[in-house]
Amino acid sequence: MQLMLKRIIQNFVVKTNYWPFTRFYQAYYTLMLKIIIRRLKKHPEIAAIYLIASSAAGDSIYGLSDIDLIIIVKDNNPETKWKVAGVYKKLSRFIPILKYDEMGVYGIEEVRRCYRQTDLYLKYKFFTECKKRGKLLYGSDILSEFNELADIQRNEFILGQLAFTWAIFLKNFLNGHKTDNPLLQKYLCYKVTSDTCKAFISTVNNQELFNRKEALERAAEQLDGARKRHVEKIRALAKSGFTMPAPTLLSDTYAFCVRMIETTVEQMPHIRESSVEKQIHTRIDFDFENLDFIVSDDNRRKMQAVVALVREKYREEVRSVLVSPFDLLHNDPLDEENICLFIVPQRPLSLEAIMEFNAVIGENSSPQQLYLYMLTTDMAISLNRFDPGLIHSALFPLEWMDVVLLYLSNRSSVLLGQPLEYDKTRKLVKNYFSQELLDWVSQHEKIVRKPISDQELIRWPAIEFQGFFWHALRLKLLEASRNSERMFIPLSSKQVCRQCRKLTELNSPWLEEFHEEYEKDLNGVPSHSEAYFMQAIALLKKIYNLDAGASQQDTAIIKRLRISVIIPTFNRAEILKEALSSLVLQTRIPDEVVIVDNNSSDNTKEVAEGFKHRLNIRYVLERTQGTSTARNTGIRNASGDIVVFFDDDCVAEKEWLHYLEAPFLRDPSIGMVGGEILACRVKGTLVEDYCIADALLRVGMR
Amino acid sequence: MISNILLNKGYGKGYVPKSDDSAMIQPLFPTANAAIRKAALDEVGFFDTVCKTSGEDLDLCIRMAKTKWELFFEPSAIVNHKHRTTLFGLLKQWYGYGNYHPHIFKKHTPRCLEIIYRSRNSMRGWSVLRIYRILGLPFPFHFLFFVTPFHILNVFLILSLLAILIKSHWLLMAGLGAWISCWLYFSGKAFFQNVILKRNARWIIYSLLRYILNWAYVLGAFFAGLKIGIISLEVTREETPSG
Repeated sequence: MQLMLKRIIQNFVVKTNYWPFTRFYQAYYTLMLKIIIRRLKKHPEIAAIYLIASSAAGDSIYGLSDIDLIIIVKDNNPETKWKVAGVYKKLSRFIPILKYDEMGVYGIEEVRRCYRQTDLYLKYKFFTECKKRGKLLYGSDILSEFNELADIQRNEFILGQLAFTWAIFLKNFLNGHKTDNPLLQKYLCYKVTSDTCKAFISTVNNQELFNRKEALERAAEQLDGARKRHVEKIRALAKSGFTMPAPTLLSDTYAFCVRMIETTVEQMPHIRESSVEKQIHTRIDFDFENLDFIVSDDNRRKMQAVVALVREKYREEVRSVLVSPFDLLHNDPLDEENICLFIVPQRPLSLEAIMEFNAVIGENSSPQQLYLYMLTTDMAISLNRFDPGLIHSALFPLEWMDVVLLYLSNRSSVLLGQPLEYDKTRKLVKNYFSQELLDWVSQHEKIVRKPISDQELIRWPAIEFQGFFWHALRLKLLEASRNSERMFIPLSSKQVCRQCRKLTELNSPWLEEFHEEYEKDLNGVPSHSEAYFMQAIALLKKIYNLDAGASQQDTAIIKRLRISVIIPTFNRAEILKEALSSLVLQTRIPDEVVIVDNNSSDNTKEVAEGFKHRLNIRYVLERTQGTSTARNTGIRNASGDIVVFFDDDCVAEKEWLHYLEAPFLRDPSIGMVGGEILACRVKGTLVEDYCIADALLRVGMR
Repeated sequence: MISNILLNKGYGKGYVPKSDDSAMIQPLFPTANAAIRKAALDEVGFFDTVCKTSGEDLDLCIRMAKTKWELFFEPSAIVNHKHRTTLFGLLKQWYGYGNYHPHIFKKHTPRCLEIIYRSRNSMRGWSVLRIYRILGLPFPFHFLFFVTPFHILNVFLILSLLAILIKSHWLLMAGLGAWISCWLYFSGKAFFQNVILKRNARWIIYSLLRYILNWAYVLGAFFAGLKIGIISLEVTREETPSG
């Protein structure tokens, strides 16, 4: 209900092509703001309220981005902050436009300290934005006491913003999460392009622009050749209200933006030794009292508990802890209630130690709401997936940490302890690759995901490992090509795969197949990448001259679940045949199929026996009538770890079992997984037609 | 107690929230497409053998939701179900669905008067309105009343029958008129909002079938309820999601 209205309006805008955005929304938005301010004014502790209409400021497209309210209170007392946050929370119940995490409450002193001391805040946090384009809604302007930002910082800030748009764009729209809505795609093209233009203009002309349209127009004036044409296309697109047939493909925009950014970077020499290093080495000592209020109360408490525990118990082992409400590994935004913890230990822990650690943490939080990853520093860095299509540039170093920081800053999360450290020189192969790391990978695979109570939980092999693998090959290729005359830098894993053919030591026939599986994995399609794991490890060991005597127990860890499918049936031999045929076609074949014959009088037994050579069929006769009795008999006769119930009048989709199995592998606390039931679309009688027409008639509705 | 696969649909992929209040909304994974960990099953217990044709899945889900085991909804795991091809088969199916709900209701809720009103006006894709008003009061015996447009419709029918008894022309006209217009309205709303229809499926047939099935469900639940000492007037046909 909370954001429904907002969503509806957005839908409306997207569907009706009424673009740029309506005045109505702005009016509504202003009205709501007025109500909030009137209510908050009554609170005597509040010193000032700032509004940051984040990236949409100055633009006519208002609704698709979020708003941020920054409330600054007079003293640093947490209780006051809680009070104010409470008021806001109450308001947000009635006003759908407000989301709880769109507000930050800060004490004055806190603002001053953060503003002066930390570069990180300068770059990412609200205060710079407050300063630059925040609007004072109430109270005295606290930020006026700070000096103007230096030019360099300003430029960096703009580019930082840009990189964020980019990260989102790339992550979501180039890597398999394509939106179906063509209009939204066009809008994204427009947004990314115009943001790039914005950065370009502000670098070249040293002039700041908030308006995307203006940026596009200016850029079209200043650019030449192909770039100009591209910008004009996008401009025409925006003018036509996004209705014309897509003049740009996503990849087109992508290539264009890459070029633009490269030019921009050339214009700005100091960016090249960019401040990434600086940011990451910046140390911030956070107290819990200074945690932002953008995290919900429950999560805050939970995080406190977990981090306190980590500090107390694992002080020596843990190097740093990162908290994010964004699940990076799965590229999913978690719900508001969920948080994600990254823990970086000093040295690789043994599996037992990790399990114990997880058990301890697990006692303090429910598994549903806490995702926890244990990483080594090297692992953390290599977690950045080596995606096909991503490129490395000076401005957009796709270091994992960088993306983490971007998300951390924009997804309203909190850094606890120190951020990760990493060494830039790791780009040299020797530094980057350690024996220790590889051993750890081959023993326990890469990431151990939180609720561990038994081993089956381990996802294997994780996508990250494959990204890691291709990256390793790439580094090897780079090293090799450094000695040759023509240097070729492969940018994507596919290019790496092709290049490997040319080097004798890397040339392996299975590499291409492995790459196909990797792409499948990236797209979320079931794959057989596990078949290549051993070969991949062997290859890594070979090319990095690592000791082959390391653990050979890789296979011991692979534990698959046994699946038993139970089908109760009664006098429906013909339909049962179809049901069984659909099981034969599964991508993940069931380990056992228990057919419980509920005392049928037809040839059910023969049909069941007929499938014996294709499935592991177990035929059981149950004389007592009743589906639940039959199912109970089935359960008693099933030997699998997972019992799947299926009906004789159903036909399963190809990947049905694969999808049903996946959650069990991921989380051992899951007891039951249910799927979707749709109506079969077959020609039939009037009744059948009715059933299909009436989408209401789902079998589940009882 | 609202069995609740439709809420699963609203939530999409992910953990199904477990309600603390056992009387209210419950998750439901039909047994045509459900996977259960054997260990969980051993802990929770097997299916209730009282339920002969349906309802055992709801019962199991409720029991599962009371334990520490999590329930997970995975919409990508798709199973296509072949519906009954004869009217009799369909009626029997719906009668059967109604038949076992009171049993589960009695098993899992304390004695109370439970009145549920739920109206859901949806258009394709997004819902405009969703209201649940749920009243649970302590009561000497089980009473379940699930108010839906179907009941509102039949109030008018009863009214016109009464009018025949007291021989009031005007009341009869008004009652029948209201009944028919309600019928047209409710079925029309559902019909035009949801459908991808084949050509030979007509609205009249659609609404007739819908009406008859509702009766089958209500009667099934009512008679089964009487047997075990519950007054149960419920229908879930109307509150199902659309599109």
